[in-house]
Amino acid sequence: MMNPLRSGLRRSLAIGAMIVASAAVLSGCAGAGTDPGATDGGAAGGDKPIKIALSNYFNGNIWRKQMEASFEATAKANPDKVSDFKVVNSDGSAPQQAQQIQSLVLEGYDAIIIDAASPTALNGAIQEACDAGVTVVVFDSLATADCAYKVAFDYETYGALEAQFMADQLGGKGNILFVRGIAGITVDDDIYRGATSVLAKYPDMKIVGEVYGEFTESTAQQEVAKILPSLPTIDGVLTEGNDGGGTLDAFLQAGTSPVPLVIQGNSGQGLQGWVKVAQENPDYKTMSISSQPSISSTALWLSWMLINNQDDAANLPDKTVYAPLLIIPEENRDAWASALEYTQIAENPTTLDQAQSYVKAAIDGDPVLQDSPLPPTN
Amino acid sequence: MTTTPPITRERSTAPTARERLSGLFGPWFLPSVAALIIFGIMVALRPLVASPTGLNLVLAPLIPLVFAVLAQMFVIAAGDIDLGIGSFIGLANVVIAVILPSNPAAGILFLVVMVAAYAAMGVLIAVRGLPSIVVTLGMSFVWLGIAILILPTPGGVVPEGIVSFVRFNPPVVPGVIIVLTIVTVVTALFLHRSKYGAVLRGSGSNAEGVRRAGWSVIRAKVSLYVLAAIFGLLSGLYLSGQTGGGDPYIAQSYVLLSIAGVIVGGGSFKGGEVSVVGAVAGGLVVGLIGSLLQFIGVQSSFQAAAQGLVLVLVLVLRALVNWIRKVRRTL
Repeated sequence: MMNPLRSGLRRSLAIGAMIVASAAVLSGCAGAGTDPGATDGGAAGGDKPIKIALSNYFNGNIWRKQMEASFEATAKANPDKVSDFKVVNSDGSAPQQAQQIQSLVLEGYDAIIIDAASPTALNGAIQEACDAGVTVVVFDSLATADCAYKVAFDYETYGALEAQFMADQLGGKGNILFVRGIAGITVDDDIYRGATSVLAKYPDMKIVGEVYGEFTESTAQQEVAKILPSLPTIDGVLTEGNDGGGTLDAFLQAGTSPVPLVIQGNSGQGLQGWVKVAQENPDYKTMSISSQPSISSTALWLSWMLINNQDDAANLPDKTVYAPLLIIPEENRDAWASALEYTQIAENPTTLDQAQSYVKAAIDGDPVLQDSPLPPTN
Repeated sequence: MTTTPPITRERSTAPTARERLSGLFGPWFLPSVAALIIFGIMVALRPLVASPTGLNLVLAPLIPLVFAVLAQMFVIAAGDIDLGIGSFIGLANVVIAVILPSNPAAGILFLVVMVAAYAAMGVLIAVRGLPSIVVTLGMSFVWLGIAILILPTPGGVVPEGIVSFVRFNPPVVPGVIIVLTIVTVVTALFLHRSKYGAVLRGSGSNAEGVRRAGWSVIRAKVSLYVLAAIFGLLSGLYLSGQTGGGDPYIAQSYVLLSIAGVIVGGGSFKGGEVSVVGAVAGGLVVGLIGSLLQFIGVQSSFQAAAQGLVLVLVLVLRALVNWIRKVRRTL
């Protein structure tokens, strides 16, 4: 809605700036150089390095470890943008994370980025951090505090995409097993809601079983193996990330033939399993989708933009940027499968340019919700 | 180790100099020193910590934990252990964030029923002699289950009055200091100086003596459980006010932290041997270690392990102090 209006406004501002600039040049005025910046509002900000901390509440799985690593790598590689950084972990406890955030405020960080233990439990601490002048960005698992900026994945789109893919592949009918994440958390709720809203359009597609794989390949494998004997023939499995490889293994070990369509969750294990099944059965079709651990780097860049008043970041609608979900279609499968370690999760390291494009897309009202890049080359 | 023996054992004549000394350096002494040292290091690293704002930022999140430690202390005083306190606090938080705003009367009634349920649990444990670990663990799932029924995913809004009460911060003396002082003094006077306080402690360490002195041990134990529930509610109240929302899982970590706080604070699983000042200090130690490690810059993957190590260190120190005392006494 606001998108054409806004970009139209920007265009006319830019044209206005150009006219002013050319007029200034024509009249030989020396001050013309600063005009585009002043009118665009984008490049008007500073270029001050920031002191930034990441507050995580759990680092017991691969995704979280890669998420912390991505933040550290980005911070280390950009000493001109990040003068000091730190990662703290509250080991699953929301009150302790609140306490950590308050300590980080005392330590004088310019920005705190938070993967929140609870949507509500940190709001008091976040508000106090904002009051103390700290830039707060929550990402991945969000908190609802109004003063915090948010970097989010659209998990409803996640569920809708995989369910639509499955409906198309199965011709709109079949028995489905749903490997869900963790009960009661918003990520699981959102993916499930997105998927079931699509499935509602196909009365012949039935969810015949649900298990909780906890976003962990080994847990998914055990849970699926346990429920398989009680189920009718399964045509497709919907998953929620880092659980497709274990699920596939459970079917292979049970000797199921043909192997059902298992949506993969971007882990090395899952992609390598997909390659193996496809070698035996060239008609086997699936896709892989998951969130990217490098979202922590997007949050870092957003903090930098906010503090330096760059890219209009302060005007984000709902203070929210979307980080794209990473999709691996069949044509990218082999490249990713060979690029990833068995236990690694696919991600694209986020550069400042990319983060800026996400911010711009969100401001233009057309957020980037998904992306299907090839693995980074290095 | 050195709490005064309960009423029944006849008081030996005048206290000797050594006894007076060990009274001065009671079980509360070591944890208090530890808390002060940790706090001192934090101030040395970041002088801002000692400012009123700093004190508030560092100590405010510890208040709910201190209440949880005191709740646990009452149960440990009865010679029991409470594995359900975390879920109980979570339920209180959910009731305050969801039921209280829409229907204050129902919310308050709900909280009162929760205290009554704790009393009933105490009766069950005291009369039937059931192991408290099993009963409280079982009840923890009941509390959590009810909380999830009321609020399946975190949300709700805590009434503004509670938020401003909890965040009350007068200009000169930080609110957290006032709250900590009042709670410690009142609770300590009650448990260590009042007659019924002695009966309560005696019910855990010397039930036979309490019975002979004409007091009901069961009533004393149930009173301890009621006190635990009230402090659990206070913990939930402060958590609610500080966070502004409800979350059934919010206080799960308090189960082990509160036990650690009581034990670091000079309490013992034998029952009766607890110290209020020690428990408050123990709660502060357990809570401050996290902030301290963060200030020093311990890597996030090692923080949990380092926290555990410091706790073990405090316990080792305590064992050492006890051993030295024992050796001295036998000399």
